[in-house]
Amino acid sequence: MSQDVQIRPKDEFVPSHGPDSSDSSDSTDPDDEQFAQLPGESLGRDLLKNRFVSALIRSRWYPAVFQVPIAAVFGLVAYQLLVGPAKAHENAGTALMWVLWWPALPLVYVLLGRFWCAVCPFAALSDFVQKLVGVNRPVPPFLKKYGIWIIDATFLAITWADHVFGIVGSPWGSGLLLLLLTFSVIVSGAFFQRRAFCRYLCFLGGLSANYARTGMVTLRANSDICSTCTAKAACYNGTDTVAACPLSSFPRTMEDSANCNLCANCIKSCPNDAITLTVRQPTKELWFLRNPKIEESFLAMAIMGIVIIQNVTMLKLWEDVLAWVEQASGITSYPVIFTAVFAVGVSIPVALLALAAKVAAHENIESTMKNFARFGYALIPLDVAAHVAHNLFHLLAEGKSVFYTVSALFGGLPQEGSAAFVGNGRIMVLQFAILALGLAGSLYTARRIAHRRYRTPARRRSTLIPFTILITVLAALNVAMFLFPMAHRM
Amino acid sequence: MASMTGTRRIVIATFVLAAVSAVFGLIMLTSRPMSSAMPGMEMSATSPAPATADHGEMAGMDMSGSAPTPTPTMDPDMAGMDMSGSAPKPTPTPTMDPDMPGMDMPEAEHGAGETAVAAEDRPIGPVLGTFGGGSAAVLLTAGIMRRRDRAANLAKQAARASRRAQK
Repeated sequence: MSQDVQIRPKDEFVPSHGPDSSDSSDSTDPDDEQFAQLPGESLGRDLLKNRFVSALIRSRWYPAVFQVPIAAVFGLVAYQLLVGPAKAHENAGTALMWVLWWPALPLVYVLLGRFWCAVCPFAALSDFVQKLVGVNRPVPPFLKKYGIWIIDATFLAITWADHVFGIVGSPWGSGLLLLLLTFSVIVSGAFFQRRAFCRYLCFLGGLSANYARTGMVTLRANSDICSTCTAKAACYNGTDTVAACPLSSFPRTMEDSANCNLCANCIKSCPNDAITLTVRQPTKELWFLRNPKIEESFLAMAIMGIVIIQNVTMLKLWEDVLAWVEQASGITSYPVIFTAVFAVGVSIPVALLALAAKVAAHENIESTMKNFARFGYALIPLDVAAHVAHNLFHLLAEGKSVFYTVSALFGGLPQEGSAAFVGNGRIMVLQFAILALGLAGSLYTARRIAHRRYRTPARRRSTLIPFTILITVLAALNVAMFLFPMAHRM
Repeated sequence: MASMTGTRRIVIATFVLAAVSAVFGLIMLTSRPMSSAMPGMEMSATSPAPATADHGEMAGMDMSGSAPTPTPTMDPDMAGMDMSGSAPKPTPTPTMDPDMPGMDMPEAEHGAGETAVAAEDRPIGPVLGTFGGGSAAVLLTAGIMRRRDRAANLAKQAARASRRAQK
């Protein structure tokens, strides 16, 4: 099967390059000059030097070799959700989607960056629609400017809708979500260039972009070779046989992995073999960010809020909270109560980061907004850890339901035993270990960011103290919640 | 595929959508959810539910995991003693621990009330119809726009060529 080749669009945009322009405009900061001259992230061993990896990545079958089976499973999931058993614990679609795929996703981001986006069935659908009827209009400037805010809002809206209308707990609800996403992908693929949906609209894309920064695999271009290139950005625009970069990233100036899904188009199209695929320590990319964005920091904090709310609503304590709110306020409507709790829950981490940024801004000269944007990224490792720890419970305590429901589909007898792989005690130990790693990662990231940005020990110290307290408080909050027994998803 | 004309693409897209809608329509008409189709799987209306811990000790109401066995003196048609082929499944009540083995409570996570829509109550026809119709409309619109774009490009190229020829 040959790889789909998109019609090559006119250059949509070339990403900006270089240090944070807003920082450099602040001429009163004595550390600006030094910060602007600091080298970027150093690269490790090139995986493309390995014959097997190189052959796989450069093959015409990559990423189709992963896409095809995943699309087949996706079809089964969609079918099950829409016309399968109505009860979540009997539905293979629910088990595959929410017990297997959703918990495994953050692990994939940590190990392989945004690789999932290269093999996602929606991406394949977008390419197919584009090839069939695509108009290839440029992405509207509005989307480019506010896309990440739209992603933030969509992510929050879907989480809210899950609690109010029951998406995870209802196969039909999950099926409707899939249909809605499919329709959005069709619209985006039909009218806009490349994978506009994945880059600017997919709620998972925003999460992926943030989490991929902690990923252990990174794709970069060798700038020495690129400076002599005469191939007219083949890595960005594609060639006659290889599609353009689906996420509109230009490897030569790419400094982060947020918009690289390891599809390998640039590797295949580069005539100079300038692209490298290297392994690095998890979270390393976060230490070297030059151009932090408020909306991405906001998303990191919103995800923290969402994880906290997911945890709270799965505790038995939640029933007591609902009863207390009902008694105290007289409000009996669950959507109203949950909306209020949701708004407070998401706002708490954002407000705490704003508070820490304000405290830090008193001492480190930079504005509160710059501190908010810069150090929000330090929370991403804790975000990932909390997300993984929360979903680890579902994966390990309900994982067998995947086998039970799928085997029932193929004529196996319905299983009545426990769906747990291991006991709650072991899961809790693993959860705490993962949270400890996340805490360590966040603290170390904050330290690296502060040390890189500021030269004087006093500036570093006064910046680090509020953010260290913030990270510790959020980690402690997560630990406290994992101490209580959680309800099952299936 | 690269040489395919705009019209052909539109026609193919329409046929593909019509075929997909037909397949889903057939699926909708012919399939029944496993929960109600499998013999003995529908328990919601017939299974005895223990309301309190005391009920576990009531005669014939042992819910400890094994199916109650009718004694010779018991009538198999007694209310709550459906022995038609399957073991009654305990229905969770608010007083029962949702983490108890075999006592999965799908909605316990959210507390959002009953969200599992019964398969026969799902408006799958209208939903898939709207999805298929909307998608078809999008694909047709995009196909027509693409065709117009190409025609405009060809016209521009022809105009340019004729201008060059005049010079």
